[in-house]
Amino acid sequence: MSKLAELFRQGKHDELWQRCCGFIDLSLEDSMRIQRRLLLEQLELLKGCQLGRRIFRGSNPRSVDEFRELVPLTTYTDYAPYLLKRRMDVLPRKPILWQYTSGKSGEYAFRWAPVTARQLDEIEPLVFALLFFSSCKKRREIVFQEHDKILYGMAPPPYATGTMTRVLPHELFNLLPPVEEAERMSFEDRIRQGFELALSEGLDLCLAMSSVTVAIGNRFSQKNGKTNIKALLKRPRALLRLAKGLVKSKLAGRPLMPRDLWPLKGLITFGIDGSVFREKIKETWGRYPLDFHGCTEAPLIAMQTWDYQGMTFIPHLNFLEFIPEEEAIKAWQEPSYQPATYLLDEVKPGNYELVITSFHGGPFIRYRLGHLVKITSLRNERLNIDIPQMAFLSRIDDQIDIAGFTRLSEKVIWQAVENSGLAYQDWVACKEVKQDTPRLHLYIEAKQDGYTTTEQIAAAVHEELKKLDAPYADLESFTSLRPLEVTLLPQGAFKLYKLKQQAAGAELAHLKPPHLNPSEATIDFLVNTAGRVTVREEQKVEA
Amino acid sequence: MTIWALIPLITCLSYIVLLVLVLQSLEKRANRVFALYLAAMATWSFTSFMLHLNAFPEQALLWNELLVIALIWGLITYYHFIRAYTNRPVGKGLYLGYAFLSILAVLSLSGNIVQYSYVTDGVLYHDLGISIYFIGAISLAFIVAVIVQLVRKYRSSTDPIDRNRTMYLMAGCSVLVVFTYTNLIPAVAGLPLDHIGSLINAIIIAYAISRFQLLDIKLVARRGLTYFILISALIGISTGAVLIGFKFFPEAPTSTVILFATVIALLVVVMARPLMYFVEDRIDRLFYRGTYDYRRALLGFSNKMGNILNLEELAKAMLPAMTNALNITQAALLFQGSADADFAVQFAHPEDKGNLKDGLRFNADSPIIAWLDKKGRPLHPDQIDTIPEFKGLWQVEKEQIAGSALGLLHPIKSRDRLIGILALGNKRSGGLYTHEDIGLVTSIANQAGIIIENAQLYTQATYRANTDELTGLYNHRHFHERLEQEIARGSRFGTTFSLIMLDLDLFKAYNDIYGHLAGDQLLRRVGRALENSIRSIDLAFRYGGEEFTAILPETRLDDAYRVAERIRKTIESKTSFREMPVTASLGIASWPNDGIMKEEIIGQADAALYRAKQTGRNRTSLSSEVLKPGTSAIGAELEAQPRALSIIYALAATVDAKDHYTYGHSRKVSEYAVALAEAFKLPQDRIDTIRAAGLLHDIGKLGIPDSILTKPGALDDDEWEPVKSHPELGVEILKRVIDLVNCLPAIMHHHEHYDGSGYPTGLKGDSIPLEARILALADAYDAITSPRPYRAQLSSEQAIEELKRCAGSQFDPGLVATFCKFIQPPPAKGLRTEIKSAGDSQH
Repeated sequence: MSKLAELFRQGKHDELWQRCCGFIDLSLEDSMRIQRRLLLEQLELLKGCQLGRRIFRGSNPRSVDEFRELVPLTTYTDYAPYLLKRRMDVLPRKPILWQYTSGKSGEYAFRWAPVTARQLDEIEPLVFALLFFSSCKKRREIVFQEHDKILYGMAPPPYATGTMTRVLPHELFNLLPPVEEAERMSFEDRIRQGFELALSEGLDLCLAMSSVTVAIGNRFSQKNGKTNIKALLKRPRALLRLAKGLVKSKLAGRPLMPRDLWPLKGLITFGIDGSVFREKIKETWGRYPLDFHGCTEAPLIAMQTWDYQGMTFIPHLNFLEFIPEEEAIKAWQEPSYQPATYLLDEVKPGNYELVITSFHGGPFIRYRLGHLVKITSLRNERLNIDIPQMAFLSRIDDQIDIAGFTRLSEKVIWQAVENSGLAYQDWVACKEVKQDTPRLHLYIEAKQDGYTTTEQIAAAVHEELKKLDAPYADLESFTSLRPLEVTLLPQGAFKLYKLKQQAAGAELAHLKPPHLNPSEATIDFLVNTAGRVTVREEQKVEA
Repeated sequence: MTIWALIPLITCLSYIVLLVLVLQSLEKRANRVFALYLAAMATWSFTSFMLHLNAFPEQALLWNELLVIALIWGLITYYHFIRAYTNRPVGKGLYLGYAFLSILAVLSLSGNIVQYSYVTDGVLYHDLGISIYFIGAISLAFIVAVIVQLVRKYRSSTDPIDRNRTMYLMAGCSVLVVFTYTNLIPAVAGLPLDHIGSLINAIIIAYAISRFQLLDIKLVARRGLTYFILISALIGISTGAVLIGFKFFPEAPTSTVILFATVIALLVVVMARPLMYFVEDRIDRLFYRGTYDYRRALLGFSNKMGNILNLEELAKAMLPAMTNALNITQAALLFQGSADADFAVQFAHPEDKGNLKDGLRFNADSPIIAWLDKKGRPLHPDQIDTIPEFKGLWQVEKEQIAGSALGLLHPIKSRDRLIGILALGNKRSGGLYTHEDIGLVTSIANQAGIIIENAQLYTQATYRANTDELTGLYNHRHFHERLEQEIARGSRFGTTFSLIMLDLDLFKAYNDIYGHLAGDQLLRRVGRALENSIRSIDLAFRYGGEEFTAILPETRLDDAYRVAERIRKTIESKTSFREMPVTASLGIASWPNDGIMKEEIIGQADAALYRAKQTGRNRTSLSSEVLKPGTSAIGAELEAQPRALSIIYALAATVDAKDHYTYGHSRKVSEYAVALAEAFKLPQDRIDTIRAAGLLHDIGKLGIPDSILTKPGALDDDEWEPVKSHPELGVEILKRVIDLVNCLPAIMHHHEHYDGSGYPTGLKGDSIPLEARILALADAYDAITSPRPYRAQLSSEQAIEELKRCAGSQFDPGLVATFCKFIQPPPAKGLRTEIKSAGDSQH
């Protein structure tokens, strides 16, 4: 049992909080001291390994300033020759495990990244911190108890979210379903079984992809409590919970929702859509989701605290540098351009691309994540946190540029679709140029009961985009250009796509098409092939 | 009402005071539950008071029923509080407890528990029937559960303050239980002795809150508690005295009893402090056993150590006592060598075992140092994973601490600045540091702070007084002190030692060529090289100027020779290729063979050094090689001279051959310059240097293209650049010829102007070496009195006028005056003013 698990079991909450969440009490000066010190340690490790020497290109940085001056910015291409082959001999420290995410089409299917034992040691308290922040109302409040039930709805290892779930001490909590079973199941089966278990045993924490959280909520509202009572007769506890939930929902005069079944202590979601569906999740689950930012190369970069506002940067996992948005775009367009970076104590509110250098023997050096983040404030006044706060905007290299006026991110388009009030299944969007005019083409599949026309959809989404993105609004007022075009996809298009991918043996990350700029073949499949094939709706989750 | 009713009344009031204080801070779960417990206890005492008051005898049964309920309520809420205090969830046991309480309340109020109840003469007579056994058994189960949880909490805790809190809770609980069970003793059953136990428990809890923050309550409330304890104690004593008075003197009038009680209370107040010291002393001896005397000795530490100005003495007095007093494996003191240096273990006890000495070192920028400095509190190694500032620790630093068997770090501060760290090992018994241990360490560290600072200041002052600032070596004054000490030691123990004297070769030339700053840097480099070439027991000194010495204790002459050769080779090897070679000559003498007195041994080493210089420099001479003056050393000198001159003439011929206009120029400049030097009665070695420099002053022109040198017209700006570089070029060419090194300053600066407008370095006035000023004058005179293709030759008189015109701006006015005197007829011996042809170096 880890030390943290032992403290949790002994009820030493003050010490546990201090170990896991203490970083939010650091002053910015202290945070920078940690950043600098750990970078110097990492430089020593990098100088002694082949990967480090290759990236350093003969330079010998001995200070933070020299490091920023002498070492070039990198992308995954710089690491691919080593990491794709999972070569341990070239790394600064021998990894304890490898994790991956989807790669670059045409070049590599997955981006592999190693995780060292010390990185994992540092991640464990932060996973606890996520738990605590998701449930507390003030500092040092820990409401979780041993054997609390957790719905395990994150992607499994070797995805990064799986690594995070794995460091959670399983002996302390009842994961639904238990991890050893869950990791043998398909993702859908796992969610279904976890949900069924939660009906019988209860649920204290939902730890899931935001899309899963939303999907469960939607299914409830659609079914409105209609369920197979006969099946539930064998599970009296589930039946009782459902009955209680139904009474609650009837008293409130609305459909049955997860909040009626489970008074959750905490809710943690992961995914770009977490903030898009924030209000919807609050409505269906009864509390806001706690969001965090991370990726395969840097599992945890920042996390929200109990005010569910900006995310607080974690100063001891990665060395953080920031490139202002304009400079970042320029650098992506001209790979030889080396933009200047800002440090955590040098940033001002605004948009930046994140650049990280792994600490604790990780491999990434001045690595451009391609993540565009917004520094929302330099400190959290309400909670007295002295570390800059951020919100994730989009991938900087994956935006749709419209006539140079604006760059629409996946998140903005998604938010606009969501705010438009359409009942939709899913969507994809890409930039097309027709008659020398750039257009944003939205392909959307409506739900069966969401009958509407493309013009109505275009008008509604256009209006929402104008509200969300001022430059987009300017585009119309200055040029009278309305760049949005909508194609309504046939029913079941996305389901059929998923079946096709499953049949081809695709990994979880590839079951859905990318929201932005999917390949022409994908669009063709969604528009044409799906129109010829009918997919029967399956009922996966019993409720 | 009987006097016995007073006890539950006082107890009730005490709990009400506590309750009021706790009610002000109800944010924490533990505080809320504790308030419930206090309410229950106040109720229990109140029902007991009402029973013993016996104001309404017909209500005795009701009060007794309520008393039973309140007692069990108190027990269950105490169990609840302990679960909250140990951070445990509510649990099934507690639900059972409250269920039991509810059932009991129903049964009791319905008259099924207390059969009858009345009070006579302050004694309660009642019958609880068979239910007393059930109530007793269930209560016992909860009491055991409370004790088990407190013991577990105590054992799992590493924080001394936390352990103390738990100790006090255990003590209070034990007192309460023991007194409550006195109800089972027939002789005292019915008397409110259980409330005396309850009162003691209340006082213990109040003390634990005020002293160890048992509950996180407001500061004002904590202060209130302190007064509450004092007042309760006084009331308790007075009441006790009154009770005793009535008990033993039932016939005495009330006024006498009250007077008696007042006297007793006053006596207690007067005796309180001495009595407390006595009790504390006994308890300390009981608990600390063998370590007691060491603890006492340590507490008087500052009185004894006030005059210590030596860190070693301080460590010797402090560390062993501390190791024994705390019964720990090791104690060490860490200090910084200099302002930015690491904190390293400088003293440890015991030195031979334990890991602190080898394993513990903190970088000056370590977060641990910053934390100790900022917080000024002791640091337990377990806290390293807890305090967020320590996230910046390196893996190796963490491993080093983990491997050093460290038990506690305590900062030593003086005037709010961290000046040292006290590192303590683990307890020999394997236990943890108690609150008292930490209090003792803090007291010692506070006392040691000022002593250590004084000692450090004294050490620094002594160091400065004995140290040469430039090189960091010991200075001349300390050399004489140490030499005397070494002679005294040798005389006493019959040992020998050797003395090396070292002098840098041609340092003056180096200084003149590269400037004094470069000269200082060279001396620093040589100092470091010297220090790195000797053993740790040897001592290196800067004797003065470019002279250094080294004392090699217990070293014979032949061993000292090997050391000296190592020094010489190190210095030689450190020379940069970009500058002139740096070498040193060394002389060695040995005590007592070469002399008994200090002066004798220095004289012998100096003579050996002189011989090394005379025999070609860059060598080591032993005192035994020193010969009588005028023998082979002089021979060697004479032998060396023609060799040097032949080199000079050959080089001068090379320059003159390059340009026929300048043919003979070098020779003439040399002659003019020598004449001027002789007129100033300069020593012969300087005249020789000037002669050679005159011959070679334009040697740098070997590197100038012929097209420029032989250009018939005036030079343009681009052409001037290479011409201006010829002095430096000359130095570059000659710097490796040891015999000519003395000439280099004159060559380097013979184009400097007296007013600073010359080249290459822009020196002015007397900062230009005299040889260079002489050479400049001679060079100019020969140039203007010689024919050139681009201008007319001046006559001697015109040239003198020109020199006078430029005196003070281009030339040293003093030299011009002298030069003009002997250059006018009658001409100086050996000089010819009718110059047929001469080269011009004044392009």
